[in-house]
Amino acid sequence: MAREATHKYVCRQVAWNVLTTRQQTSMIKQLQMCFTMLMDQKMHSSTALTDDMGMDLINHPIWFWLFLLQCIVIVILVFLLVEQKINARLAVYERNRMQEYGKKEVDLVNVMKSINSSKELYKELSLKCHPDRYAGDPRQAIARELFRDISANKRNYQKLREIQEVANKKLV
Amino acid sequence: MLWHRIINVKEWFGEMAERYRLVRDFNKAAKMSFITGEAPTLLQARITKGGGDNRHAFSRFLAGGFRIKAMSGRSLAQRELIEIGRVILDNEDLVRKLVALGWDTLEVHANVGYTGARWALKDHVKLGGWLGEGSNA
Repeated sequence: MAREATHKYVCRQVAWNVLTTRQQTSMIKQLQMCFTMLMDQKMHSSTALTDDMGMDLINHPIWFWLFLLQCIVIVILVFLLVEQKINARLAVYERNRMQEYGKKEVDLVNVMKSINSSKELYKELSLKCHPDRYAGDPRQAIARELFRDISANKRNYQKLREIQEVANKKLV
Repeated sequence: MLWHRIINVKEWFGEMAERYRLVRDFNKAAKMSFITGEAPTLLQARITKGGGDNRHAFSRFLAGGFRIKAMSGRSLAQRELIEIGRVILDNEDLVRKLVALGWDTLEVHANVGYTGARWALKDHVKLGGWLGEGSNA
């Protein structure tokens, strides 16, 4: 019974569900071997059965410490395994997100027009829609809004053209 | 497991095809722009090894550089190089696509002279700060 209880305790410690069947089997074998050796040592050693707890700890056989060390190593490995699984899940999420961006179409004609013509158009529009030109005029609010859009899309030719159309309609 | 590996290989080839398609489309757009007279200079894009300091999680090994060469026939001034680069970097969709397809460095230079400009794409991708922080272009 005591053996079973200890076995269950160790199982709970190492997050049993995470491990594969092969890892579980090999771990059971190792733990059983260690436990058997420990119990044998306990039975044959009279010093381990003393009432003094301090002396008891010091007089534990080497197998006990090896068993303890092995448990700690197993817990650390399981912790790393769980962390790795969480990271792997995150990596898949990030990869999927990036793949979506990779497949997205980009208007390269607009990029070319932006490289070649956006600077002139920006200058023209910023002069035309500058809010200071409409001081004391009800159109000043519209000009301020348009000027903000122009500044935000300084190097986007297509957006600047759209703003130009709006300016031609609203700032006449 | 095997199926997963097959899907990975398929994705890898898909990404490679997408990379070359983007370079080809860029060159085609630049050529059309030059032929129609909109552009005074022909631009040419190609893949280079990129800068080692600019690497990020999706960088391609020895193919992380997106280089734009301006066939200007003269050495371009620094502000001209920066202007070309800034147009690319201000286009958020294009930068995200470049990063997603494994590029980490944007390089701009002329076909004459030794000056050029280089930017780390991770500083301009604006993906909520999970790829890189700050800007040092």
